[in-house]
Amino acid sequence: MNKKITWTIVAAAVIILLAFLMTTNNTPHRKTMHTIGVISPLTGWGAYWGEGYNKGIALAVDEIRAKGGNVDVVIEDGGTDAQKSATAAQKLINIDKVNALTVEFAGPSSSVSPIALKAGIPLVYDAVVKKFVNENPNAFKFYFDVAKQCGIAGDYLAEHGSKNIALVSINLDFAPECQTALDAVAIRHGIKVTPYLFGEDMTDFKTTISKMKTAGVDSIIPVFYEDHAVSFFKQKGDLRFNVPVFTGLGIPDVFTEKVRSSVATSSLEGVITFDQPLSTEFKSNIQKKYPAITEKDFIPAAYGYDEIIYLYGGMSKCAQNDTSCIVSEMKKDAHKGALQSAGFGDDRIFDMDPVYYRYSGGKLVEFPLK
Amino acid sequence: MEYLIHIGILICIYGILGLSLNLIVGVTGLLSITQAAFYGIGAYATAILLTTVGMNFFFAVLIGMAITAVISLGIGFVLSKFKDDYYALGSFGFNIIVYSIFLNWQSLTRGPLGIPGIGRPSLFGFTFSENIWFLVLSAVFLVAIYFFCEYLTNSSFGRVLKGIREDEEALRVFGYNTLFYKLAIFVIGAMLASVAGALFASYITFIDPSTFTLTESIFLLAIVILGGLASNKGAVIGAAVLILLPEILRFVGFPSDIAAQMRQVTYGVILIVLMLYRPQGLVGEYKL
Repeated sequence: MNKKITWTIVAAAVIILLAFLMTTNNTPHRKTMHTIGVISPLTGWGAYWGEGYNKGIALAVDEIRAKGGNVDVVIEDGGTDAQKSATAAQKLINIDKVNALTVEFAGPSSSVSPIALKAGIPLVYDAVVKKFVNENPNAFKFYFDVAKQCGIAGDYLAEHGSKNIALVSINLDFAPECQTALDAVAIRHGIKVTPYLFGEDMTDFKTTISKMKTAGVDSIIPVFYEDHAVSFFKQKGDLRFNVPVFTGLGIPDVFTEKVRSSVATSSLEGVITFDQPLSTEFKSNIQKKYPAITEKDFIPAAYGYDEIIYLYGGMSKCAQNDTSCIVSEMKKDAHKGALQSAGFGDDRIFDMDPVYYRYSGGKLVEFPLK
Repeated sequence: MEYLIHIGILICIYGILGLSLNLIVGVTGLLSITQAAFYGIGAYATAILLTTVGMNFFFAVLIGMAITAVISLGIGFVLSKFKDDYYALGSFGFNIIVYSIFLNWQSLTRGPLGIPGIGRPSLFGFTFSENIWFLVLSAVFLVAIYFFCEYLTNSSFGRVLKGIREDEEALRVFGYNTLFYKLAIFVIGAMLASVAGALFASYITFIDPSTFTLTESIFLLAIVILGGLASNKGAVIGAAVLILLPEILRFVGFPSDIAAQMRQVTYGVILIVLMLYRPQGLVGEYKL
């Protein structure tokens, strides 16, 4: 291969890209009235979320179209990465000419929010971090308030006799939020809270558990995902460390069906956790569309579904690209969606109101916290 | 157009990274897998100086380069004790250490929360807030660094580096202090990577540790190998191909359910085929 051939390859690659860009201008979705760009985590560490999320989006599009709505969705993989998500956002805004964006997780939201703000289009992001709502007047936040849930868990444990709480958390964006909330709990109740943070790949918790035993920890708030939870609860049982547990993340993350089925019931007895109740109508519709859908995909599907429904709800009432009108309509929309919530409200933060459960005798039993 | 400008900026940033790593891996033959760490140090130094002190971007770049130089000198000194596979493994370890520092030194780096709201560069009252101007700035940096690398590799200094790559023992016999040359090029490569980091932080306006992992170092190595070892032109071409390829694949009509995964598989297959038929890279001098 000589230099000529090399340059020919590079030139051909550039020409092919330009040709695709030009032909894309004629693709059918541009003819529709409302186009929503979705930056989905289909690869990278957040890929566990993307598949279910896309299913919910597909269901929302079907339902809107069945009611005569005029919506199209363009999905791009954001790779659960800030830079890749920024590239996807640029493509969606400038090539696909979307009128609104959705993005998942904090890192991608951080890089996409300024791009959406500059383009002047509404953004729904799904992350723990609240600050994009303050920085971007067109941004709407989804996801549980982890700080609030950790605060509730900490207060409950302290009020029920705990003096030394351990926060066992994967070292991701929600760890500092949870820790700050628990520090406040420690001051309020005069108790001790110690963080035990670990990396994403950790599955051996024996040393951590032994350290907690030595430190006299008398209750645990776990903030991690399914695979960590399976290992943690198994090893906690093996080491006979029987202290109360109140999860800082909910059933879809930390106390899934896989965790409940693969860990001995005795090791899970008494765990308090929570979940966002899903509407039975949504559950039945998503199961009808995807009969093989598993429990772990229900929540991401509900997020995807609600994000599209709320966005389209605002878009359908306003002129195309009238962002202030769309934002205003979305604030007003208080209908209960798949997540049984009351919409965003004026603060543009999705109002989650979880139901609490206690694991007892191999079953999740609804648990009135107060 | 904005999309193409965005891709252009990424090509410039990764072109600089390719050039910086090519000096170490391609020209000198030191198989370093820690370049993402220096990229990250430059990004974090700039981000912290811009967001906390409000320093001018260009001063922050210089300070970032100085910090990277000091750190890379230490790392390079330790790595100089190793050879070949052990060198690669040692550099691998340093990338993990630096990543862990980004993740865990929360009072400085904000850990997994990352640093948002990083400002764009400004010079004599002109702010590079429009992407087109940022592309111009990135291109200026790329061209300047490209010519610097060309000058370096074609100088007598560069010839010694190539000599180290071909036969270090022979150079020692002729009285060359090869440790000095290896350390010098390692530090220069690291400083150039920190410039790319500064541009990245300022352009994306957000950084977190996940950008500067081992995977990123391997991606940078792929840029150098695909473009062609010991070729500055190859490093830039490698960056352009590896940035453009996944973008082109976005427009291929894969079924939407598996499009992202298919793109990754196709991307991998294309790279394997390229390496099978062109092991010395697109415009490289030699193969590993």
